[in-house]
Amino acid sequence: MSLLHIENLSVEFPTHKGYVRVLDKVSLRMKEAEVLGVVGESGSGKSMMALAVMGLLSPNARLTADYMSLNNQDLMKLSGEARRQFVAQNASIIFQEPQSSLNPCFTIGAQIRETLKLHGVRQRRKQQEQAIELLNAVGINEPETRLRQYPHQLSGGMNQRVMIAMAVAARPKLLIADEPTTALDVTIQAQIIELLLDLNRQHGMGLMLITHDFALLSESTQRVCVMYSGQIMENASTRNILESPRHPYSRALLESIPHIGERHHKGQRLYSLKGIIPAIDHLPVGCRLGPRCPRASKECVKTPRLETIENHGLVRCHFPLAKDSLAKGSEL
Amino acid sequence: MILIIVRQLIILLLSFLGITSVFFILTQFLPGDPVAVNFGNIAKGSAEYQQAYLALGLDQSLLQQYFIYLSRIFSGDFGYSVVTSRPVIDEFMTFFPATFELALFASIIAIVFGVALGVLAAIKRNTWIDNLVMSASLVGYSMPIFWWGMLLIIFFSLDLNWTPVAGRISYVFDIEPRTGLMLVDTLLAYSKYEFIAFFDALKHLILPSIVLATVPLAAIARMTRSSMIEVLSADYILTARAKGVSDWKIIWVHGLRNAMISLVTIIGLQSSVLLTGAILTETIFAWPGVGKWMVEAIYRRDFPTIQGGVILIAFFVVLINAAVDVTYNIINPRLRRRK
Repeated sequence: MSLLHIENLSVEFPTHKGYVRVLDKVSLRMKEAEVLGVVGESGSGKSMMALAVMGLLSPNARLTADYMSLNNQDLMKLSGEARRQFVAQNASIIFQEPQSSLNPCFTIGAQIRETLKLHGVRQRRKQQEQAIELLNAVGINEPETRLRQYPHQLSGGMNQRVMIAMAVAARPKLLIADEPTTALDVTIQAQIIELLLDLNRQHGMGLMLITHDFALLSESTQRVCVMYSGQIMENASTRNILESPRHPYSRALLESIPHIGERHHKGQRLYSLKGIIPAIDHLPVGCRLGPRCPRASKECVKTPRLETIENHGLVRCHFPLAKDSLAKGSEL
Repeated sequence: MILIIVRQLIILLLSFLGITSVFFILTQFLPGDPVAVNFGNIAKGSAEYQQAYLALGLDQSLLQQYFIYLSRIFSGDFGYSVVTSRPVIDEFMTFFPATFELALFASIIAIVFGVALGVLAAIKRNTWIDNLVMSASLVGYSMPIFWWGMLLIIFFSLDLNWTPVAGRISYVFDIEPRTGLMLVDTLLAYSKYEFIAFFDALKHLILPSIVLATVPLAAIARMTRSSMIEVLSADYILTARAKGVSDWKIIWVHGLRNAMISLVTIIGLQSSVLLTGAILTETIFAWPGVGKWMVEAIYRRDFPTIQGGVILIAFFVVLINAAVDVTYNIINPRLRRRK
């Protein structure tokens, strides 16, 4: 029994050079009420995966998967409209920019009431009551006033709370948060993550937390999926990855987190991989990290497979790092 | 809200002052005797001439002449037609409803079909439907409307005999002008045949409206398309889709509501296109409106009529644009003040 089960999900987009694969055979599973972190830099395909699960890809995208189920319902067997309705009832998504995720022409109230109406709350009075309840639940003060206001009259953090309120209105089994705090102030970030985790604990709502910030995941997730260039590079428990990342890319991401006081001393540069993420229509042969990887060797022109490492998880690398390499401070 | 209207009224007043000033300056450059220009040919030296001379303030300074001119305009005195001897404002009021009816009908056609086609093209973008709509609108936008009007007359009126060639209503009907709007007047005038007269008037209205609507329709369709494409790629559309809102509602409520904000401006700008287009359309279809009236005044060298008419048309365009500005403020919540 799993909340979300994806086997070999690929997404392709047409370009003038033919179809380009932006998501390459991604497989993952989420248990009910699990908190899964998905991490990777911009362009790694993490948002694309979220959109593919939600069925929000643009119509010209080509989606293929061996199996994809949400709440034990095989999504690949549902037709367009039925799939969308099913997903809307069972999963919600919030985006990076709360200000642009809410329709600027309608009041907060109108947008929450619309959501409630879609989930079967017909009476206007009940909609209003529930909307106020929802806003209270996500920690918005003066909910009656807020309901009459437009998104531009609220702060970014407040709008993200409204987005969360709308997302949980249907009591979804899964909430996908696609970089929910990237556009917010640091102090607000922690509050929003805390709110999401609260909802996870209170309602047993599965949470997929997509981010490029490892630091955000350390305290909140049980498992982490590291993505790079449309592929999953490492998939293991949060503790395993944080304590001893096995993929050079995971380690590079961890190394790039600035720490106050420890390890880094004044004047020392933050760690970064050389180069940039390759253009998706111009991928390197073999391992996609190859040209940027400090451990790359001849072998890496052959495409590595995602393989199980005992007592750790899944890693896609010919030369995985040794256990505890991070703690020993050995060179990459 | 009140603040917006007050602000618009002030802008309106300033625009009127601007128009009249420009006009006053222009009339200074008109060749010939100002008395003749304003009152037609009056024998020089006659008592009448002297009276007209004084009425225009020609014995006083230019500044004083300007104020005399302003006070005349703002009290509704636009002079007298040298051809019919009737006050220009009265003539304008007789011809204006016909133009208003035509322009209103044309705007409805342009907005309804323009928006619908634009939305269709945006949804089906980069398909043959989109290409067809966009090429057709480009042709429509660049078509000389006098030629287009004649083509339609040849086809629909002469070949198919579906619509009349010209005029507002057949001569068999004697309609008393009450509102000046033929569709309303026909319904008011007859007790028994009002619907026959009404449909006759409607038939007369169709072709000129289509001709007049063509250019604005094309412009609106193109603008709707680009503005819808932009709006439909916004995050809040994804949010709505994730919520399970139906495609229909996403396009026509969530999408169009936002696209309308930029569209209203374009639609407002089309109002002046509509009035200039009316001059050509009315001439082709012998439509007794302001456009035809102006063209005839030009042929007859009826300067008071031309001057008065142009100012009144300019006033009207300014008025529409003020109304558009107010609408723009109403439909864009971001421009409303915080409560």
